[in-house]
Amino acid sequence: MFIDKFSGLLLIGVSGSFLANAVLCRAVGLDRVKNMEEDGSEGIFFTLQTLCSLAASCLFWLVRDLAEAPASFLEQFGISKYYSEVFIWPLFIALVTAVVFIIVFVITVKAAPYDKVTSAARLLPFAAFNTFVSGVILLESSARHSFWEMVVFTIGSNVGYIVSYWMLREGDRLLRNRDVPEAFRGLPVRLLYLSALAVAFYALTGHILSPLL
Amino acid sequence: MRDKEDKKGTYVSRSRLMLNSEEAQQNDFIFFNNTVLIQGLALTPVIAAAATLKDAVILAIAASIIIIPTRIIGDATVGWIKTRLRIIFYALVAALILIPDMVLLYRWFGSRFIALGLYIPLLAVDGAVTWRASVSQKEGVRHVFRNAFSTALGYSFVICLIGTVREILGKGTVWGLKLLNGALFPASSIIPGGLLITALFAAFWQGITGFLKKILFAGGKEQ
Repeated sequence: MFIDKFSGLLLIGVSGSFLANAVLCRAVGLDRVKNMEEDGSEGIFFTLQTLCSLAASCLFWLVRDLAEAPASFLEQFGISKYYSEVFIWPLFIALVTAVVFIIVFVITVKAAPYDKVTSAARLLPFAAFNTFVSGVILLESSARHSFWEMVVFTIGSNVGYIVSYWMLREGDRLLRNRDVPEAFRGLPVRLLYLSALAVAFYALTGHILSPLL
Repeated sequence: MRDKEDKKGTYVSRSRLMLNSEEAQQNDFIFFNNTVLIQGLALTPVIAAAATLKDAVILAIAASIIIIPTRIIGDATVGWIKTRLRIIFYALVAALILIPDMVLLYRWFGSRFIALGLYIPLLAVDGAVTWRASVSQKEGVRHVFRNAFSTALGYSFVICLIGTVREILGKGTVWGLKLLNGALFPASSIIPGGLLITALFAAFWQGITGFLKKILFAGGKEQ
């Protein structure tokens, strides 16, 4: 029984990290592709984003059912109950992320080492409000995970984000050379590299392209 | 005419016309500073969801309805809310506007809209909507409206362009109408193909804007 549960959770975590990698298989969280920073602040950003993502997912899991009441209002516009609830979710996600943002902001200002406070305060808005954090909440909500499944999926997705960002950064170092045509430098070459990485991750899921129609 | 000394100590003359055109270029979010292809914002819906022209049009309408009012309301809060906390306000306003936006699109496009999944709700926190939250100076309603309209137009144009190309390559159709006998590049309908095509468009766009900037601005600076 325990082994079954554990292996189920492990599978969800692994799928969040690799098989259903949010960045490379769903293109969620590409906001930082253009503005990658190499000033040593990535560690702070990842810590803040993981913290915000996990806290916002937990909070949203707890309040998700409250969306039923305003959703019933939307039903009078001819929208089914399931979809009307989904239409309310972005507002709920923004609200829970705002609560998490304020809590993390206060904790960061009070507890972070003095030399890291400015950097953390500057990065926090982008770490909390981005398509990755909201995307993970939407993914796990539409899958209707249980609490622990949600926690494992969120952690797995954050690991997947860090892995794909690390691969992008390592590739980016190699791509910064004079052989790259001027028009391709920066965003285009990074997207091309991500495209190759995405093909590799798609292969992991066993995706097979349909032959010519 | 205005004279200005550069680093080497030589005088650089720049006409008023040149300054005006440079200013216009800085405020141009359709071509020179395109939200998607130059600034790298709002890449998620373009790459993941805009696989056909119809999907691209739905995303363009959804984003345009959010971007313009959010920016105008957001600008009104400058001075009232601390700059670092304004992103909360932007996200909440965008999420609030998204509700009637989604109801409207659901009634117009039905199941096609539902098929876009999480990519419409994600627009509430997309960089294209929230990136001006860090601006600390009030810009004025007219200026903000012009910039937001320009951003929405640039975004809509690019997403529709990429959606059309992906649909032709991936399905051989445009707006569901058969154009080719078969798909030339079926992978363009999925994310790796979306990344590849967006990358090629970004390179083309970057090449042209770079070339035009050289012709329009760099050539006239030193005399």
